[in-house]
Amino acid sequence: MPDWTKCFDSVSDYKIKIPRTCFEGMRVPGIIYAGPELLDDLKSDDAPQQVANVATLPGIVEYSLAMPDIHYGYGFPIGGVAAMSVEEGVISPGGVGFDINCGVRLLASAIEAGDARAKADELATKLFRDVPTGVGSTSDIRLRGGDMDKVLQRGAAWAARNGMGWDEDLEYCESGGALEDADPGEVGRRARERGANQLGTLGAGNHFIEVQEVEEIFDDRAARAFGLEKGMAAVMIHSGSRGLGHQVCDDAIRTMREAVVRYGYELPDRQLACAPVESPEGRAYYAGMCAAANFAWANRQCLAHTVRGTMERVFGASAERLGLRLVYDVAHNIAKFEEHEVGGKKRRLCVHRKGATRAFAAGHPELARRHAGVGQPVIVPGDMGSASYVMAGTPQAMAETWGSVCHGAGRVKSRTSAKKEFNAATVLEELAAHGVTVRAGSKKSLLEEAPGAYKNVDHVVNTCVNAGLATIVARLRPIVVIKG
Amino acid sequence: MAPYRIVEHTADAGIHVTGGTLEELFADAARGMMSVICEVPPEGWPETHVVELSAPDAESLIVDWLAELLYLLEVKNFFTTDPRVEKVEGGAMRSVVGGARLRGVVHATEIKAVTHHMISVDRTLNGFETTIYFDL
Repeated sequence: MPDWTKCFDSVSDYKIKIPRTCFEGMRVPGIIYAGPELLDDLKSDDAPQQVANVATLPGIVEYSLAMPDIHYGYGFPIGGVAAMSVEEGVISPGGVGFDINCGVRLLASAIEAGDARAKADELATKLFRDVPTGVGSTSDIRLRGGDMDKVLQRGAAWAARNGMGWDEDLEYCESGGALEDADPGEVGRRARERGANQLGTLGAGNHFIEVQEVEEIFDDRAARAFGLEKGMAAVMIHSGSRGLGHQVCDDAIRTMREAVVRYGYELPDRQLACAPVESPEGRAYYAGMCAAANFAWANRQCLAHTVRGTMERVFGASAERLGLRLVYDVAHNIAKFEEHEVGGKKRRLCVHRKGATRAFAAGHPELARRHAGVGQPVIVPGDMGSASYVMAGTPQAMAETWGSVCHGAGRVKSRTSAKKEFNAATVLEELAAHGVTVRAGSKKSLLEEAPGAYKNVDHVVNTCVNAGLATIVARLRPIVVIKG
Repeated sequence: MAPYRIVEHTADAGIHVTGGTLEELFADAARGMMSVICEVPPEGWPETHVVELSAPDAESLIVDWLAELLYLLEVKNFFTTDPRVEKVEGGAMRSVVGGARLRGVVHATEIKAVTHHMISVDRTLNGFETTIYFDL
C-alpha cells in the first residue's frame, strides 16, 4: 500500500487535498473530509487510492470527493461523490454500487421512549418475526400482471396507493420516492426474477431496523420541522433495492466493460466501467438505475408499512394515533442529474453518490415545504451500540460537495477481523448494558456488525459539522435492533 | 496450499484462489464464494444445474460464473456444493454444478454481487491465481 500521507495536502483541520500530481491520470484533485480523530483510520486504509482512481474518470468536474465516513470499497470508495459533465463525462455503475438506492428511512412517533423500552423484548421478537430477513427470505407481497412495471415506474407511490402507506409519506421521500426517468424496459428478466418476491424484505449484511430514542435535540426549529421530539421513540429502516438492483448493476457492468474498450477508456479498476452519459449505454443504465431506485423506495415503503402494523399490535393503537409519521427517506447509493454552480454558472451535472447522502440546503426548490426553511433532513445511522444522527444540509455543502454529506459511521474493521476479534456473548452483554435489545439472524451477522467494527459516528458527524457541510439536529440512541 | 483463502476487505470480503488449471481455479473460486456465504453447507434436496457461459476474457468469465451461482441461489434456492467445471477454454466454460435446493430461509452472509474490483487472472509457476471481491 503506498504511503498516501505523503500526498496529503491539508486544506484545513477537516479537509485534505490529494493533488493531481499524486497519481498518474488524475484529471482533478481529490478532496477527503476527515477531522484529526479520523486520520489514523484513513492512513491505514487504501481508500485514498480509490479517490484518486475516480479522479481519472473522463469528464469529472472540479474534484473527486470523499465524505468523512470514507472507507475502502470497490471502484469508488464508500463515501465517494463525483459530479460528471453531462456533455463530456461518463456515468459509472461502479459509482452507484450494486445496491442501487440503498438508503435510510426514519419514522417519528408519539410513543414515549420509556414505553418502547418497557416493551423492547416484545418489539424485538415481533419485528424480527414480521419483517422477512435472511438469505432466501420472501415477503407476502405478490406482484401480479403489470405490477412490477408499476413498482419500477412509481416507486414508493405504488406501495402507498396499494394500501401500504400514507399519501403524506411521499412528500417526505427524496425525489418524492420515485425518479421519473425510470424505464422498466431497461430492467432485464433476471433482475425481475430476483426482485419478484423480495419487495418488503430487509436483506442481510448492514441492513437493519432500529427502534430508537430521540435522546437529544440540538436545533429546536429544525427538529420541529422534521417532527422530532426529545424523549420520544423513532424507527430507522436501512435497506435497498435487493436482488433486483444488484442484477441491474451487474447487467450494466457487463455492457459497459465492453463499452470501455469501444470508447477507448483506460481505467485503473475494471469496477469503474463506464460509458458517456449521453451514449446509448449510459442512457440505458441511467433509465434502469432509476427503475431500480424506485424499487428500493417501494421496498422501504413496504417495510415501513410492516413496521407500522407491528407497532400497532404491540401498542394497541393505530399507526396514526401512534404518530408514526415519516420524517424522511434518503438514498445513499445513486446517480442523479442535478443543477449546481460551477465557476459562477449553473450547470446540469450527473452526480454520483456512493455511500453518501444528498444534503440540500434551505431554500432548494426540491425540498418539501415543511423543510424549506431549515434544509433537507440527512439521516446518519451509527453502529448498533452507540447513536445515530439527524442532520440538515447547508449552503456550504451546496458550494463544496454538490450538496452531499456522509451516510453513516463507516466501517473500520473487515468482517473477517470483526469475527476473529469479537465474541457474540460479550457483544450481546455490552449491548444489553447500553440498553439495546438485539435480534439477529446469526452470531456471524451480529459479530460482523459489532459496534467495534465501525468508526465512532461522533467523529464522522463532527467532521461534517466542523467542515460546514451539515448542522446537527438530533441524536438518537438504539433501543431495539433487528438484523438479517 | 489451500486452494482458496478469505481476503480481508474493509467493507466487504474477497477470496484469493489458486488452481493448477483454469478448470480447478473456477471450481475452487465457486467453493470459496460459497464458504463466504455459509461455512457449513445448508441441507436441502440434491440437484444439479448445467452452466455454460462465454465472456471476452478470463476475468469477465470467472466473475460471470460466480454471478451465475449467486443467481441460482437467489432465484432457484440452489446452494452450490460440488461445482464440477468440465472445460474453460477460449473465453467459454461448461460446468455441471451439484448442490442442494434449500428448504427455507438460511441466516447466512448475503453476497449482493461479484465485483470486477481489481480483478486479474494471472499465470503462476503452478497454474493460475486470482483475487475476487464480493459486495456484501
